[in-house]
Amino acid sequence: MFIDTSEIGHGSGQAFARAMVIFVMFGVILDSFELLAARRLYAAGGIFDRGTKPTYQRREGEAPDIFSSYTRFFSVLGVLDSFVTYRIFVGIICLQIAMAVFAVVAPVAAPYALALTICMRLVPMVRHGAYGSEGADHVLLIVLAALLTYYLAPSPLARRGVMWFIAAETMLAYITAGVVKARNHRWRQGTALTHILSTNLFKCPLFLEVFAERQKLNRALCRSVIVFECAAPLLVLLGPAGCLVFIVMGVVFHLSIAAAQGLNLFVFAFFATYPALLFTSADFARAVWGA
Amino acid sequence: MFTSLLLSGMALYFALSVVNQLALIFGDLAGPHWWQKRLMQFRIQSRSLYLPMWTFFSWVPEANVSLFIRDRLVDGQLTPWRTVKYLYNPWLRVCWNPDRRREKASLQLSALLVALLGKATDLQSDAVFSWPSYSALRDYCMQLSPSPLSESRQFMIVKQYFASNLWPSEISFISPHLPIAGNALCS
Repeated sequence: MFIDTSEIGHGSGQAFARAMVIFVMFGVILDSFELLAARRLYAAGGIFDRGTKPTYQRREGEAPDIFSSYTRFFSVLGVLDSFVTYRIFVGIICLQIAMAVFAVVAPVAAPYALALTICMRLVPMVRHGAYGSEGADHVLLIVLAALLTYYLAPSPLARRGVMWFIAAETMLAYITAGVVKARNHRWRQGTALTHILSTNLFKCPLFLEVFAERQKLNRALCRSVIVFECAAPLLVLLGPAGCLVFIVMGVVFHLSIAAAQGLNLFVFAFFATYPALLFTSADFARAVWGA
Repeated sequence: MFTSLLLSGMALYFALSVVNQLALIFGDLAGPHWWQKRLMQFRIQSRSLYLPMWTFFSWVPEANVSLFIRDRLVDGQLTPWRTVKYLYNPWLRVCWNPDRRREKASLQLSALLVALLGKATDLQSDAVFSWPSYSALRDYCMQLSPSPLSESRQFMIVKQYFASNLWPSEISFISPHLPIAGNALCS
């Protein structure tokens, strides 16, 4: 629908960038509507109340490291927080939806919409720190920033570089997740999934019923996730056919996670990177294998 | 010129991302090799660069952290402990899951409070009540709708271990009774 197949491995991938804009903006729209549906959490007394945010951000003696990475970065921008009241926050979320729709329906406006969306997506991070955020936020932000760079890039070479950058970060994401799982004995033994799906955060009785007494199924699933993630660079760099196999597996993988763990934003965040994977795969195959 | 700058910038960010992933996987301040320590130092020093940590779906919890609340009624009776959890539609959440950030934030705060209590030495009896994670959890629990005719509320954090049959769960923290303001209106 969006991709001209004759462009695979040639040119600067404009159709691919367009497909990425559409996926990433659908992610932004979904996330914004979810934030609006849960907007009471951001008002006074809610868990994301602006008044309690400075307490989250303050370093709490020996606070674990994971919470301070955002804190340090955004403490520079902390002054903005005092201006972002609940009403303004809700207004910004509504504007995000408008910008995302604008980018989808009006390709010419995409760079402006991308720039504004990036600024507006930084606001919740400034306002709430790391609490309640997830990895998909980071993926979306990197893809948005890379796409903005794509539209600002002065030459086809630079635009191809952006495609390669997104693909490289995506492959790095999969292989890192795969290696970390391979080093974890619970993932190797096949108990990881039942543990994760037993937590309050990711509880899923439907899946737990299926997995509860099926140790072999658990082990097979855990190991296949490790193999799938570690195989990402190999399949992508083999060429478009291998890349398409990987993309199909990726679609199944992320939809399963969304169903089992409720992490629905990852679906759009990673789907947005797949056009870049396909473009880079063909580009690489042409350059290296002469395909 | 601009193209070269752009390509160099992206290459540099990607190279730093790779080092950050190596630090996530192999970095260890107390590790036996010098490079493990270096990687960890890099990770600590590069936080402000907003480098990605691509360890998606790899986290395997040792225990399930649960947040409970109970109310004390005006006649002194206590209601049973009830779990603070969000209700979701298992079929719908593949495409619509607006409460997941709230659930994650409350569990992160609970886990942080428990971790800090575990690390704290020479703790004064009321020091915990000034901690931000306690204040945030208290505020969060207090705004949940109370039972009718309740005058105060307690919250409790419980850890349920997956791997231990001997000690399957432990109470990690119980708050004092916190007065509920204006409950006549709420109920």
